[in-house]
Amino acid sequence: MEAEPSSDSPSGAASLPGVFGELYEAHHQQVYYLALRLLGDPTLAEDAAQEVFIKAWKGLDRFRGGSELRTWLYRITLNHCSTLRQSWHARKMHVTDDGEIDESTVGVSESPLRQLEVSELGERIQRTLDDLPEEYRVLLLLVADEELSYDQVAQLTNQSSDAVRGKLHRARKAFVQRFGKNA
Amino acid sequence: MKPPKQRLTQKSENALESTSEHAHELSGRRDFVLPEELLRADRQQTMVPSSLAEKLNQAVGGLPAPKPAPWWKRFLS
Repeated sequence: MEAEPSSDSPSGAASLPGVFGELYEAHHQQVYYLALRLLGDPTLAEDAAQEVFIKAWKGLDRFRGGSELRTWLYRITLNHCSTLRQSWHARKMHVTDDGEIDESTVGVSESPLRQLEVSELGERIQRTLDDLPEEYRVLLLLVADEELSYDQVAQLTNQSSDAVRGKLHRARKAFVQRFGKNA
Repeated sequence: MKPPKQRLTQKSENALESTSEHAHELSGRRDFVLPEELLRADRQQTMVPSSLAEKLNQAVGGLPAPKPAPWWKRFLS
């Protein structure tokens, strides 16, 4: 996994200092995509990815390589996005006149920039992921990274590899069912 | 040639346990058997805003540089 940022790097990594530029070049696509699909908004995903890499920058000297770098960045991303979603959840739960809790708008930004996601398929994927339980959504997004093993996914989601396999089976089924409904 | 949705729906029941690559490309469209294959392709097509690197450069410019860590060279080489 060698990253050689050049002056014409389309990612912009060349503007970043030394090893941090290499870190960014090697992992920014995965970090941004995970944040995008967890948060459902390009602007929020960009902000989240920025926070993740700043945390990574600050933690570089503390990171001893006990876990692989990609896994470490994913953990930061998952924690950051989870905190954001919990914050939205707390803010956007409304009690209706009859005393019931209305969570219909939880977690989805209506930013106009959301429309910048031009791919119709991408929006359909987003709607499908939004319909899934968070556990399934995270599992599918992590497994989509072919560099992660089931053991690493298990570590990231705090469960056994067997549990990952079992839930992944159900997550795939749920995704397929909802993907069809979101046509 | 069916659109990805139909292909995904039709094949998923039989292929959920498969980890092999079944996607194929025809006339610029791909069929996906597993959801993660679809997500993988979606990720590859997703553009990361170029402003992210610019914002990061500004942000880390004001922070102290991390101490040298020898394992980085091994990891990235």
